Amino acid sequence: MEEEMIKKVKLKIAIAEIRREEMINQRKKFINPKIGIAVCACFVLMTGVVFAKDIEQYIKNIFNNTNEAIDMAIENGYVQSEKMDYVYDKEVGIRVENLVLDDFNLNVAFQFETQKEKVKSIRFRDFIITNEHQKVVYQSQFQYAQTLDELPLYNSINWMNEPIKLTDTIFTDSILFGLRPEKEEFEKLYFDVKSLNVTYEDDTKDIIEGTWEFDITICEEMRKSVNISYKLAEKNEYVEFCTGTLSPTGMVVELKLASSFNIREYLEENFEMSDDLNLFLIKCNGKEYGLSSFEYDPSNQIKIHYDNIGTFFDDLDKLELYLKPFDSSVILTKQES
Amino acid sequence: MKFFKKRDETLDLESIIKEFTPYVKTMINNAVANNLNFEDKEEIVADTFFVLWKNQTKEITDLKAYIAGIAKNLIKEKLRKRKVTCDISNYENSIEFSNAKLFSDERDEIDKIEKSLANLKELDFKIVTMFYYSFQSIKEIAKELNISERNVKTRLFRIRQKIKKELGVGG
Repeated sequence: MEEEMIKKVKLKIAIAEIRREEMINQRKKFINPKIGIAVCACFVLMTGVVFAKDIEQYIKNIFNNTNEAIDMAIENGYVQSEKMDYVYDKEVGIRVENLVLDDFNLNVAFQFETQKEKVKSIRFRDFIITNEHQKVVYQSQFQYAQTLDELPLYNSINWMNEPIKLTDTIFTDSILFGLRPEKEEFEKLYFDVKSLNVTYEDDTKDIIEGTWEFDITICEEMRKSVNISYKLAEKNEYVEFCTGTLSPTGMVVELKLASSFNIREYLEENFEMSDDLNLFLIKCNGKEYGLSSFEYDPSNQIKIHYDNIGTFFDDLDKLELYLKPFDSSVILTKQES
Repeated sequence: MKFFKKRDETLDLESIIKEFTPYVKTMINNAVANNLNFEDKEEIVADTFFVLWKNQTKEITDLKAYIAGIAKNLIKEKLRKRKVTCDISNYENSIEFSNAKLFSDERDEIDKIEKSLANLKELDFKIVTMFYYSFQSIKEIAKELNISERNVKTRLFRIRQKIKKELGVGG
């Protein structure tokens, strides 16, 4: 009787292993046969292409540092899958697995391979990312910038969640960079990694110094991603002007409040509002989207960032922007491109 | 727990299944009596050991209690799926909470594939489990089963294709 149960369980495990193997294989050859394989290895899927739900989930899970808008974008095929080989040094191989880019965000998922034993996680330590214009996209060693030109292109980084151990020898980690909007378009990213942090299963840590250099070409669809612009539908006593830009991976709203209201004074008097994600709430499609960050200047101009809504969401013709300080809303309407 | 680990520190699942199958079956019968049919009960037993295998990297101090916790959660899951109202609270309270992840979506998919492999030949069963469960090489499998390596490869390929088709990823 137990022999039959052993056979049954073994078969389940064998099927699970084949399933896992297939998921890894599918991730590597994820194409829409109508488009074919682009030279730049960009796999942007159109709706109607059938793929296993778990594959989509698998790609999303590889982006362990991400946002809701990016998750939705990936679900709609807005992701570039790379086919590069590992670049090896000091018994560790590194490669780019997947990438999502638009005007507001760059999310890169890396994969590490090592035969070192009992490794729990691997993460970049000292590294720099540049583009073909010799502009720094990100550098781990902080450098003071004398001019605007010297400022890196990133203005925020989401790298909070731990790397993921896929197998005993393969690990994945992703980094989400918020990009400055004034960046010029770029086509290539160069990665220069000088050291890695390795954590072992007994929680001891090690630094591996080496040289890992590789580059990727951003596919055209990512470089020329389509944004949706919004304008204030009608005047409002609290808002002098308001515009919005919705990209595949997020939204930025810029508004100037009426001069009678001083945002800085307001936040100083109501300091708990500084952390209130509902301070400027986007409402559309029966849902509400809180902000992820905002900044303001002395002239009452406010720039608000949202990472939970993007162009792949539904019903985007009109967005309601709720202004909590005034308990009032303005309507933003989509501009025809 | 050490007692049930192989020399390479992986779980000695066969010994565990032999030791604990009667226990798990008794648990299930005590909890649900005739509220689930024989096939569902067998499925819970098999899934209990599958989930144990999937969670084997976790720290387990009391194997029997851990297995009982998994079985309890799977019983509840099966009762929900079958929409059977069966009060197991008295029984449930005597079993400790289990933090084992149940991998429900994966198990549903595996269940579907298992059904499609219902008529799997004994030889094919041996090949696929020796390769994917025991991690034996093609060469070792061919030698043990006294067939050619090509035969092993062909049969493995056909089973993989069948499973790929069920997964909806081509084949």
